[in-house]
Amino acid sequence: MSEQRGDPFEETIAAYVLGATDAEETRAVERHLAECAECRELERRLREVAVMLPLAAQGAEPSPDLRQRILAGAGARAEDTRAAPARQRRVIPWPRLAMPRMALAVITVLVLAIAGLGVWNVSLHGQLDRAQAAVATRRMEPASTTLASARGSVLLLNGQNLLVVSFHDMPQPAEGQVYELWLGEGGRFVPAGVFRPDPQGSKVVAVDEHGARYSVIALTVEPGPDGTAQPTQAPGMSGSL
Amino acid sequence: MTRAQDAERRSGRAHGLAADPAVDRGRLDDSQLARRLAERDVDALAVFYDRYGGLAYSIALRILGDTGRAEDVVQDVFLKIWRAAPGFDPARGQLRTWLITAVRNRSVDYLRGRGAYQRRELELSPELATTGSDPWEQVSLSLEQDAVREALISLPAEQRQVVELAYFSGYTGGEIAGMIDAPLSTVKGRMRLALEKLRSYLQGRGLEVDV
Repeated sequence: MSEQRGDPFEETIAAYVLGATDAEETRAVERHLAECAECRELERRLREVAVMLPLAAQGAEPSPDLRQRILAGAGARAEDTRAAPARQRRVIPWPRLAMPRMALAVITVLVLAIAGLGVWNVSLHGQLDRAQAAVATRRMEPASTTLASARGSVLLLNGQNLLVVSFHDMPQPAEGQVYELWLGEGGRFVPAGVFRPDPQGSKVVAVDEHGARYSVIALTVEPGPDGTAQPTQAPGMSGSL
Repeated sequence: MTRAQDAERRSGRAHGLAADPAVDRGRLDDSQLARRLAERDVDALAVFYDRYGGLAYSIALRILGDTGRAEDVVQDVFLKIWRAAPGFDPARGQLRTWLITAVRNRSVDYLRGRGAYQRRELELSPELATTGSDPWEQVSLSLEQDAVREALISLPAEQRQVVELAYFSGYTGGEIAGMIDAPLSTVKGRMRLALEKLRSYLQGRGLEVDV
């Protein structure tokens, strides 16, 4: 660089890492980088940020066919490319954990409404005016093939210090193991309950913690019956709160 | 060779790779997954897609705004990585970075009508660090996504604008200068400031800006 301040390459390097230089500028920057250690360091620092930018994209789900097409294109066998089975509607079991009376009332309204609509991951906006202000929904996404067909939904009951997490299509954990929920913030995780799903693979868990304090919820398989104090396995499902 | 034998060979099962019951591929970290991909393990490709297919699609859809074209890009990139995986060196960078950079670049190429094979996105910068084994990669990803969105929102509008136009729409600095009626030097300056602020913001959130 660039002993002089205002060296044009300093500014052009930012455009370069954003992919915003034309062919001539690109060649000029690359020639300069080849001979300037300081600018290479600047380029590295700025590129580290630029490559994170795609993470800003809001979550969207491709069609199930895409997975099949990719695996087929890679030469996988037919059974590898089989699409996940259609998700079944399940009767939502009643949470057995103790919870505040107001929260229980809100959940009663929600569960009845959801049962009526027949869908768990439904936008409740416009359907439940009174509950609307009190509730936000989040999804937990599978993060392992074992739980690829599982579904997890989180209700955040604002002001009730309570999360209600609903799981469906969950495989039974192995003998002696349980599912353990975790709430996380800043890379630290606290245990938020252990459970085994019912024979239909469903479970509703009430977590008596203030979800607003945490940004992530995750699920692992841990030794039963009490789980562990810190996660020992890769998350099987996770979601943002 | 029978069709079934050919399918076995192409799937990698003839080498015993995909039939290894002792390995739960869902628990492999990205470096281990990259090695499996290099060994032509189709089950590893399925795990790779299950882990990052949604992210890749989200990126392509944000740039292209068209579900069909977004899926085409994702399919194209996953298969290109599959084909190039034997040459991938995990010590030189992260699998995820390879994927998302390729998806971004390919999407912009589609958007701008550029030749899809003009880029060198499959060459990783050796400076990009590897994270090694991290069983919480999925959770970390979720945290990172939230942080990057918030970081972008935190930028002054004029800085966010040039980043969006450059990175997500594929415009050059000169084109952006014409669009917003500002000198090229101003556009480049805003880009530089934006990246520096993003870096500070992400580091302030405790994230290692080291993809």
